[in-house]
Amino acid sequence: MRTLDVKLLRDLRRLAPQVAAIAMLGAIGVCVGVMANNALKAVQVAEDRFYADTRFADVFGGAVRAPKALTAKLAAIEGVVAVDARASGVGLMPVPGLDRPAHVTLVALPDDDARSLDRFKLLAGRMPARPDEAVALKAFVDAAHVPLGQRLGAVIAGREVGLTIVGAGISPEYVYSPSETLLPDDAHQAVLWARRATVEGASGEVGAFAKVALKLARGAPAAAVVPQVDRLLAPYGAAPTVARADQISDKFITDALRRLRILALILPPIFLAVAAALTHMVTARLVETEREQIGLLKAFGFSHAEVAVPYLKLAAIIGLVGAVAGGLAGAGLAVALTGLYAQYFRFPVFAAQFNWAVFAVTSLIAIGATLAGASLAARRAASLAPAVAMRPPSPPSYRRGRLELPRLGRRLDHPTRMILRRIERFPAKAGLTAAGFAVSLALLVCTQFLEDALDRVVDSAFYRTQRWSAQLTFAHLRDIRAIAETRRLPGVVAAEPVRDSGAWAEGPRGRKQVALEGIDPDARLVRPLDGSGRPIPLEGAGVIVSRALAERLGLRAGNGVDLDVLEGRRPHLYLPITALADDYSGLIVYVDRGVLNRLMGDGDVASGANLIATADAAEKLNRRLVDLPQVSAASFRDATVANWRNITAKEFSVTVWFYLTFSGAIALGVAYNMGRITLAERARDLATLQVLGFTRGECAYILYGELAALALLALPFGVGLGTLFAQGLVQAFARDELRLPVAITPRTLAVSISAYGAAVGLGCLLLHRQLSRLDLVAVLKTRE
Amino acid sequence: MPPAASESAGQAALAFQVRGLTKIYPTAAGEVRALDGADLDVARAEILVLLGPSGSGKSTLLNILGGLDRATSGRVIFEGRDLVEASDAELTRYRRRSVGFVFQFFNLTPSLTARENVELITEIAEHPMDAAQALAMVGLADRLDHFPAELSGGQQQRVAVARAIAKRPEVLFCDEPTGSLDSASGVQVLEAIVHAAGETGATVMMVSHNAAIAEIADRVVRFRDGKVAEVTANARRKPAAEVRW
Repeated sequence: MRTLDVKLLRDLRRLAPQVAAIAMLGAIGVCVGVMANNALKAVQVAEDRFYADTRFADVFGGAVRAPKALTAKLAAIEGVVAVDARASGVGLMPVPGLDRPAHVTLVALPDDDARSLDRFKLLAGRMPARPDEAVALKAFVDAAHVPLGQRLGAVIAGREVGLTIVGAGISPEYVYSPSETLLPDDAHQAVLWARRATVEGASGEVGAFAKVALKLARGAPAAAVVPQVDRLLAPYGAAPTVARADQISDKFITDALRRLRILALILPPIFLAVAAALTHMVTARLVETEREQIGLLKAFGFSHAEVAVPYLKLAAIIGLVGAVAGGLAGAGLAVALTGLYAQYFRFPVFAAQFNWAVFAVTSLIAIGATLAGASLAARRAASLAPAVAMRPPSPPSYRRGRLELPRLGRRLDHPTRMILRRIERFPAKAGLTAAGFAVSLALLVCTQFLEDALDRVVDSAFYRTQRWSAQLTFAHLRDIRAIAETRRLPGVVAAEPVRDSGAWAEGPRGRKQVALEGIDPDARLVRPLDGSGRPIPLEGAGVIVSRALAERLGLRAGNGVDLDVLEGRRPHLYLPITALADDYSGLIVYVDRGVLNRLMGDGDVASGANLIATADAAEKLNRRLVDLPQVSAASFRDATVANWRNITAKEFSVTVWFYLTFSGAIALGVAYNMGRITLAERARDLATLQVLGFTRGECAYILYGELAALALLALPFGVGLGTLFAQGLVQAFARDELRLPVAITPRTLAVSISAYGAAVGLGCLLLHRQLSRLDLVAVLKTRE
Repeated sequence: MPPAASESAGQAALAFQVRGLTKIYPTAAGEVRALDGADLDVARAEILVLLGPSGSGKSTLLNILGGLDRATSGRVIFEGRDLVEASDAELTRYRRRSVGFVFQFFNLTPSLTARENVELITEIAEHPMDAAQALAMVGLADRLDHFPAELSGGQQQRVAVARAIAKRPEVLFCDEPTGSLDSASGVQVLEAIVHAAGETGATVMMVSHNAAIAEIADRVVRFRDGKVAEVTANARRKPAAEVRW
């Protein structure tokens, strides 16, 4: 081994804690990249395999009693290679052990499984052998604790049908099966598959179908097929036709993966940049202390490159250690994350993956980052002239600082002046340190804010805009007198009619499927809100459009919006927009129910009712609802929100620690490394002060005071940057259903700043060992 | 600190009483005896110059007497208390109250002016003199607001002397105070030390390689192999201004 390499190894050993702290940040960068990409690959592989196995369709349509003969016309559409039309019905189903009835979707099993699409994949039990047997979605069976062999009574379109659950499994259409409110609630979202005759009998659709799936030839554009399917189904229209990308379950999976991909793109560069900056500081400091040795080596004939290379090697080793550690940790975490996704998505075959290409690329980037960090120091080593290098640097020249305002200056003690003057004397170093701190705090803020933002969305959506405690959906449009009936249900103190429909909305920027919500102008249980939370009144035939939709389609208040209603005679409407609603309700158009009824050519009808029901009568109400044939679905706000909070609390309890640790690691790494550098630079100063009678605590103040001052200085910048990051995340995560507000609450600030303070404090604590080991005698004898 | 041994009773005029002082450094090659049972009495307000070749033990003695290092065995009695038995906190208090240091390499804080370097110490002292007064005593009344980088080596060392003397220490330790200065600057520093010590009544213990400096001392202590080899008294202290090397 060459002597320079021996020296490098000894330097490494001496700098081990600092090297480890920087390598840790590089490792986190690589780890997040590897973890996210491996988990993504695992989900994608499992998804592709599952979709292929079960022949997941490309286009999905719904209808009311569409004749089977229509399937031939659907099959004739160009690009369609298979059509699978089935009877289906929805209703309510009491489940033993559940406090309220589950929403049930009953789907017919295909006559010929081999040629069917969206196949049911059995995971437990057996397939139905008799008309009164059914298989169920495994997510529901597990969440509702339904044992195989359990007999359940579902009320579909007013007819009760008794079914024994003989098996459980999954279907590509229902990997994720949200409730009416789009929040997940597995226990109350039952999907059952039974023989065709059973379902046709229950839904009254003999010889007809209610849902149809189409498989397209490879490369056939779904966008061209969807309108043709829509046109054929129009006379029997119910739900709008969607391509796979808009299918609820697939869309949810795609969104979850997209969020993961965004994190994998955003987080690693931040960590690697901080690692590069710290590598720069450490190697620059090393070159400064080794000037005389560098000069000596050059005087003995070493080339410029030869003296510079060891610093690059040091940086490469830091990067390599980080890459390997990060790769291993990432692979491990990916297995854990894949396990979580496996629970979540329930694909039958879920195997952890290791993406070598991603590991190789992120490792190279990590090593590149630390090399880039050391490049300035290496160049400085190469450019030092032997004579200059062998002369010790002159003492840094200080001035009275501008930070010491004349009044304040007189009151400052000398240790504080030392701190301030050093910050002013080395602005680049102070700036880099503060920037590192700010980035750490920003990451903490922008990851903590998510929880608050979701909270605000739920508060706004379920307590301010939608103020009902229960929502009923009728199986068919009903006369307004039905509302009076619902008012007589047990515990109900108020009921308001709604008429909901689906529509395509069109604006200057495009076309989107939206919810058309018809409410009465004096409705109190649903109120569109403006930016400051005040209800906006409906005016005449004007509509109120959610801001999310307006921005997407380029709509403005005062303009009009084109609406193709996907119901009844499917009229085309052009209505004036009177206001925009800021209430996180997704893509929604509010319209006067009376106006909508008139435009649809209907009388005074409603598609459902919003209720206020007392909590103590909930059980009675639930029992009664199951017996009402005209009610096909019921949602209960408190149960929905409680369930959602439960799920997010579980999710957040894991991710919050993950983010707190990773983001805090930056503050820790910066505090420790910059502290070590400061300590090395000031060891003589501090030892002198100790010899002159200063206590260790007083010396510690000079060291930690500087870090604390910079950490405080970084505070407003960190919060500001965090808010910017949060806005970026909101943009990146924006979905049709959900637009998060950038809500930096006191809780977010309290948690982030506490974690930040703790991380900086921990960095100082690690330094304390070095500070207490200052060798008073040795430091005084040698000149640096 | 435990009470001093009875033999020190009645010797109130002593600054230090050193008995059997031994310092052993364990090294890879075995033990090194930096001090090997040194005995010495130091009178109050005297100027003592410690001479000897490298490794003879003079700096080790200075470090132990200054409260920077600990002896392996033996006793150092200062004001009736044994420094060898003192705790870290007691040594810090001792350095803070009773001791002034002048180092070979000045060790000024570069971010503080001459006056502030002195004030840094007077802030923690019990009966300090004014920083400006201390600097005037070493002939730097016109350099109060200069930063170290703006002063010559000799001037920096005189600031260090002012810093050491400003808290009115009982003992002033000087470790090669002229070691990194040219002769003319060195003489100015020596003058400053002698003058300031005279003004405050401090005992001065000065380590040096430079035999010429011995002429300014009341007594000269020569070290060899970790022991006090010889103590000689100068009949007359030569004024620092007359010393040449």
